[in-house]
Amino acid sequence: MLEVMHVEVFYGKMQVLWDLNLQVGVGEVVALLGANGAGKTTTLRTISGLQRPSRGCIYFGGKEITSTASHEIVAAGISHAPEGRRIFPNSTVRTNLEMGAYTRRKKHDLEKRMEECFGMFPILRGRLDQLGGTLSGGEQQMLAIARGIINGPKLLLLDEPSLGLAPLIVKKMFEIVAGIRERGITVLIVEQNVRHSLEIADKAYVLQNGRIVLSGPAYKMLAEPEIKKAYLGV
Amino acid sequence: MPTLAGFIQTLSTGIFQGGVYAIMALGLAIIFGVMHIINFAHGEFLLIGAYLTYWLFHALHVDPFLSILLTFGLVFVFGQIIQRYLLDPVRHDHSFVLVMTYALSIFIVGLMFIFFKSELRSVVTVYSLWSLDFMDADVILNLQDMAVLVMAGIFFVLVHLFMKRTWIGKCMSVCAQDEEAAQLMGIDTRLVSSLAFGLGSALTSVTGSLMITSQVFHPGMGGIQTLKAFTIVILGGMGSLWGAAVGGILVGIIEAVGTLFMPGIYKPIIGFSILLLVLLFRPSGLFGKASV
Ligand SMILES: Nc1ncnc2c1ncn2[C@@H]1O[C@H](COP(=O)(O)OP(=O)(O)OP(=O)(O)O)[C@@H](O)[C@H]1O
Ligand SMILES: [Mg+2]
Repeated sequence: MLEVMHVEVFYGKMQVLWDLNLQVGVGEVVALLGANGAGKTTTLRTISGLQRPSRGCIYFGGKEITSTASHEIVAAGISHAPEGRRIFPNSTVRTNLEMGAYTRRKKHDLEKRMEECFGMFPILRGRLDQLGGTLSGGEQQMLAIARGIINGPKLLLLDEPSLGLAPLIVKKMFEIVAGIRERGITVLIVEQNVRHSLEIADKAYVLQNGRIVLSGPAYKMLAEPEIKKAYLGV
Repeated sequence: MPTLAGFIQTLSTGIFQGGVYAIMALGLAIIFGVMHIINFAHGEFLLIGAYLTYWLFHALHVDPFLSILLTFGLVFVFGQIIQRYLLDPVRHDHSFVLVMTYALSIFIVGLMFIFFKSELRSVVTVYSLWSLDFMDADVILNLQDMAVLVMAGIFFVLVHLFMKRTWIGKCMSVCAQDEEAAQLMGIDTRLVSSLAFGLGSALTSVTGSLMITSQVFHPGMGGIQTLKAFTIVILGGMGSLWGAAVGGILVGIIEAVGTLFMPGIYKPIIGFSILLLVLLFRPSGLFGKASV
């Protein structure tokens, strides 16, 4: 479904991704793991067109999207819940959700889609008229994810959804991600929470200083000595 | 010592003037809010509206209140063209945009001097002098000024509804808050920027159309209007619509009161003093930072 091939990305003169290759198959949950500054966010930003690779190409559903405009990539079916949530703070929760559904605004099924979101995130229903900036961190993250799935994407990019959340909510967040896959949405998730990620993922890649150093089925990764040592603390 | 009637008269003059200022500032607030650029040519868009109305009135006998619609439409398109072909290409560097708008302002002023010469121009209609008297004719309210204020109010309400209720208005509002996040929603932010620039310019030109019914115009007076628009927008908090409205009325009143104590030619000094004071002591504006 998604294929990233030989991608190299620079910020000015500084190279942050080297010959990056990754594949995400239909219906999979793929985890992208790595330490701070490894280039995980940059990878997601490159996929959604916010950052341009200087080499390499990206295919989505068989079509090349390497130099496609961001808004067209969203319309093609890739949603991205970015690092730091990026809720519109001065807009209501309703407007935030409406904007999430922007690419489907002509379908006139907004109310139905909102109901579906409330099924997944009941807390948002009562918050509709509240400003995005006044939500708690956990609520903002739920809104960010709801905003990402309300337009019915084929692929959802999630950048550290569990960051800064209380342990109980973190657990819930991973249940939600698992639930998203149940609905037929493919997920590429960037996480620091390695154990939880590997438990819900089919496949994982480990980034180190801008290079993929390890990849394979998630259950194998859990047993991988390097992973255990570096990330699981056992 | 000003009398009560004198005070009311001055206040109403200030409010009438402030109403049009508010619309011009609204235009700037939208442009700044969405695109985060400084538009030095802002006052020149006001000139375009004023002279368009002048020309339509004298050449084709179009009523100024009617020509507002035409002005709005034309400048809405013109503004988008400017944004698409002059500003967007240099958008990666804000100082280039700044220089570009400055060049644009000089270019428009030059054109105005060629077409309309440096004479003072205004639009005087048959109803220009109709007025209502109050308090034994100590307070005289000009009907046309009132109509202008009503128009300003209508424009403000329409823009407000547009921003809150329509898809494209909401897109402008969220682009103003976080352009990248807006892109991730699937919004074509370049298109939104050019629509915002078109709308902001069109509102400003409408201000010119409204202003030329009550004051004389000269091709070189755009700069001072740009400065005034910035004063108001900064006073009201950069990018805030309500701030622009309240700031506009406030500057109108302050100017009117100021002219009680000094000759009218010092008016620009008043505006400029407000700008300096606000920048020094209250840089986030009277009402803090809000967004489009
Ligand atoms: N806008 C930018 N300009 C310059 N350098 C950047 C920029 N964004 C990121 N970088 C650098 O690129 C590298 C990769 O950053 P990136 O944000 O992709 O890492 P990450 O894996 O997401 O880290 P984290 O876990 O902290 O979110 C880092 O060294 C970072 O300093
Ligand atoms: Mg990151």
